[in-house]
Amino acid sequence: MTAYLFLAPALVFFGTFLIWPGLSLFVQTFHNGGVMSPAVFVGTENWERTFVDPLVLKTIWNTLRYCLMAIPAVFVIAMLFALALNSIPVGQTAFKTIIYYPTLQPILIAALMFTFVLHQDFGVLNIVMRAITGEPVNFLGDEDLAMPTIAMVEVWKGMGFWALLFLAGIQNLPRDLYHAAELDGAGPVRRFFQLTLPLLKPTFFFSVTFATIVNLQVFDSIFVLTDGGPFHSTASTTWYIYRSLFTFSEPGYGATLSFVLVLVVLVLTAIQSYAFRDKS
Amino acid sequence: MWRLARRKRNAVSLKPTLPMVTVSYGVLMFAAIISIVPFLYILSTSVKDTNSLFSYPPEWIPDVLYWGNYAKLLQETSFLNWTLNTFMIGLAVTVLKLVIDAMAAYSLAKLQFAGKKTVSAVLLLAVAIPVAALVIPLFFLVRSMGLLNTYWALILPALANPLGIFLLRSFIVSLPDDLIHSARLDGAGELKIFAQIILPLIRSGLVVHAIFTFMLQYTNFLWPLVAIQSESRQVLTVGISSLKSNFVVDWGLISAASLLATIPITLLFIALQRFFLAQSLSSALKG
Amino acid sequence: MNIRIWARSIAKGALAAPAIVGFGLWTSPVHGGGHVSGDITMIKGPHSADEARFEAMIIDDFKAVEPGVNVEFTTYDWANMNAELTAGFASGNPADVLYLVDLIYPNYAELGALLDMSDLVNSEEWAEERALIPEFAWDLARQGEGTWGVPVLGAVYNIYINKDLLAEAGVLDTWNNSYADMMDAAKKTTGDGVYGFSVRSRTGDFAFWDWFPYIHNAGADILTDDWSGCGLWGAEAATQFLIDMHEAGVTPPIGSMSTQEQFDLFKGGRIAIYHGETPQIGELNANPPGFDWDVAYAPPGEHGQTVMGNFGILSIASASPNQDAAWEFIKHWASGPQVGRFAEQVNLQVVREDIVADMFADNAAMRKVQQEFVPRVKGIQPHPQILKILQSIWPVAEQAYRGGMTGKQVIERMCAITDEILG
Repeated sequence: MTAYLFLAPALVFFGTFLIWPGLSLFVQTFHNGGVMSPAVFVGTENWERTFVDPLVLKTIWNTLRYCLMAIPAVFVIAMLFALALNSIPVGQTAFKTIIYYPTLQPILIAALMFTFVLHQDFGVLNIVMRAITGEPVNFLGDEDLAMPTIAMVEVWKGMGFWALLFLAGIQNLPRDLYHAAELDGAGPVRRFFQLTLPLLKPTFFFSVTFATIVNLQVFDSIFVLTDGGPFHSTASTTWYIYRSLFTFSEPGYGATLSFVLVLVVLVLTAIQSYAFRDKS
Repeated sequence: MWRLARRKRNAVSLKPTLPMVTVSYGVLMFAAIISIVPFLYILSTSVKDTNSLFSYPPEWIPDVLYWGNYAKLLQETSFLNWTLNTFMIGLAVTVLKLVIDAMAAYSLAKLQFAGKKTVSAVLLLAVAIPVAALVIPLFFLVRSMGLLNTYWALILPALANPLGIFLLRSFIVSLPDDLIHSARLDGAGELKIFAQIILPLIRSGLVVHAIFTFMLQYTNFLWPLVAIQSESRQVLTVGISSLKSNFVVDWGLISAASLLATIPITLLFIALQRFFLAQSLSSALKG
Repeated sequence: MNIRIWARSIAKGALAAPAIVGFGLWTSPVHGGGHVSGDITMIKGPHSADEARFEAMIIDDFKAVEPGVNVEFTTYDWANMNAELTAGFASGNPADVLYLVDLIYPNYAELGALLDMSDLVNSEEWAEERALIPEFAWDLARQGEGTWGVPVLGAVYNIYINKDLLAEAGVLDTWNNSYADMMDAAKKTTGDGVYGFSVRSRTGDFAFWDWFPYIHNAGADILTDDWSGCGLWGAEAATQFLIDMHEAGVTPPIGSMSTQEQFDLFKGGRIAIYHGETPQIGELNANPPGFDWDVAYAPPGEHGQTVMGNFGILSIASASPNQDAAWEFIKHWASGPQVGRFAEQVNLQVVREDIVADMFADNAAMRKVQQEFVPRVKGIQPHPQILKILQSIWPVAEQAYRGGMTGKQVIERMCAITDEILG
């Protein structure tokens, strides 16, 4: 009974502002119109269309490609930062604030910053590239580089958050085990792999699930930096949903695409919880 | 019970060796540089009187510092309104969410009840629905409540996102069960256990959650764009975006806005850290 | 500051609490309520950072004539106009007067969001004014059976040339006589950090605007004349020309720069032939670059020498409770003195012909665009699906500009996509 009372406030908001709109969205997949004009029932027409629309598969592939680049990169970098933050005697708050600074940037501002950073002639990255290779890099114009560049922007934006989360996780670990390990003569590297990583499993499980769900919805940076281009090489599923809903006024199709994405998320999170299952 | 709680609190920070500290500072300097460099471009643009992103040849530090962008921003736009709105909404959401989510997380992590698995699964499933797609049904829901174009339209739906519950649950799960059992044997009620034992122990998680929630609110764009029509009630992200006129973009003005917008949130970030650190210190002394 | 709004909104939230708890059960729609006063709202995308100030001038003048009507001016953000306008219409309480571009209004008209203004614009009392707006502009405001707004402003997509660079290469007088001359001029001016030629390529930059004159001059268009199918057949050679331009290495690396960054490069004297938009004239006049420049248009094709233009109309929302006041305000906004002053403030073209002769007295480039270019304008076909078609076919050109595809293949693929959308 107490358990339900503790859950109740969250469930009220959750039910009202997530489940209810989610159900409406599902109903919407069987209709056309419904935003500015009355909804018309069309059966499974929208669902059938997702199977023949080549852009659907392309956007799913792009989204997965993006996740495979962005998530491992941001985790490794953030873990490095978290370990570094945990080992310094002074200046922790200052460094935390600076590293967290990119995460605080609304995407419009982050995009403006990266317009500068990636610029052909003056961008700091191209100044570096020219010094190394003699040639500037066409970050957003090259169809093979555009998605990695989007991933880079998202990693830049996300590293502060993940570093903070991992740091919180590390600082929450019981200290005695480490003392024991130190007495056993375990060095910092071994302590990290044999103690810290396994002990952080709950944090990691949350992080991987969370990062997958959030990154599968990648949209903002694509919307402002490439708008899906060049020729759909950065078109993510959420980008396509936005375009169907708002640019093309096809709410039924946009809703259907949303549930296609939900299915992808479901499959991936199921795989992850299997991988993270307790092996006892 | 209290001893247990305190033992658990001690963070992992074995006296790091000198080379480790040196390497750590090196890594953090690198992190600081990549975090800050993009910001220098914006700083430079914000004090130039120009409609160009770049001039050829480039002028990184202009001969004459031009403050007109800042003056225009504060005098001719609703920038201060947008800032105030963003912070009031962000604070309201953060405070409410911390309480709601921590309670739910405790229930899911440490209490037994029928349907626990189902609740978790449904919560997780719902997060998978893309936010962009929910905008339309949410719009009609909020309209039917008569809340369009009010601050409530920005506050209430934000409370539904269950990610914070999972975040806090991951912190609570790792707490030893004995802690709660011995408290129960001492005759403490669940509310007391939650407020006096659990919450202090997951402080670092609460900080992350608070910062994260505030940041999500602060960077939210699409929902305020459609839910709020009055310019004076708008939030910063949409407001700054509206400074972009067609064709010729006033980059100086936008850069100035971007810079000013980050000052209060940075201060808040530091304040939040301090607040929680001070809390942990005082409770440790009390114990 | 807005403490009062906060207080009111908290009260409103308290009232809404029962609705939240009984979620979903309480769904009775809230209606806008019957405004009896003459309050109307206008929404428009900004053409200048000083848009609100310029609009206030128009509204103040209106108040002098119609003291009973209050006009509130709001803006939408160009990058997100579809989302914002959709939300406005869906709220049941959209702005009464809307400034809409020809690319997006047809869709809203078809969905029933706009008032058919045929009776208003054809009324006898307005006949004189109506006649001052040329027929080609009215064509852009008509779609299906209705007339969905009053054409007021236009933006021309013109070419800017760096006369010094072209003169140095000895091609200043010949560069746009033909495609071969243009290619020649671009090659001769390229080198030493200078690019001979630039067009937009990104879908997000609405790059198709720069492509239009080339296909129009070839006698093609997106749709056939009766809008029943793909009308691009005939545009193969013109498209091939633009592909060749990219392959000739006379352009900045494809996709590396937004149109804004290309403009910076032009201002820095590093692009000879730059495809831009007329509002940029304001910037070139305000901060003159270190070279002689001029406005121009693309070489002639087999079917003429057109200029691309994009028009804005003033529409009335079908849900507006105050359509009479809205119509009065539109007539005022579209009147010669008002629209003329605004166009001069933001460097846009007007469509009405009576004021053209006196406009832009001390702005040679704008005068040239207004008097010489506007009569050559060929705009888009305002089909309800035009935006969808353009955004769906453009990635093909984006890919082709990077090589590996002929102009013929581009048109074939674009037509396949177009025909599929048309059904």
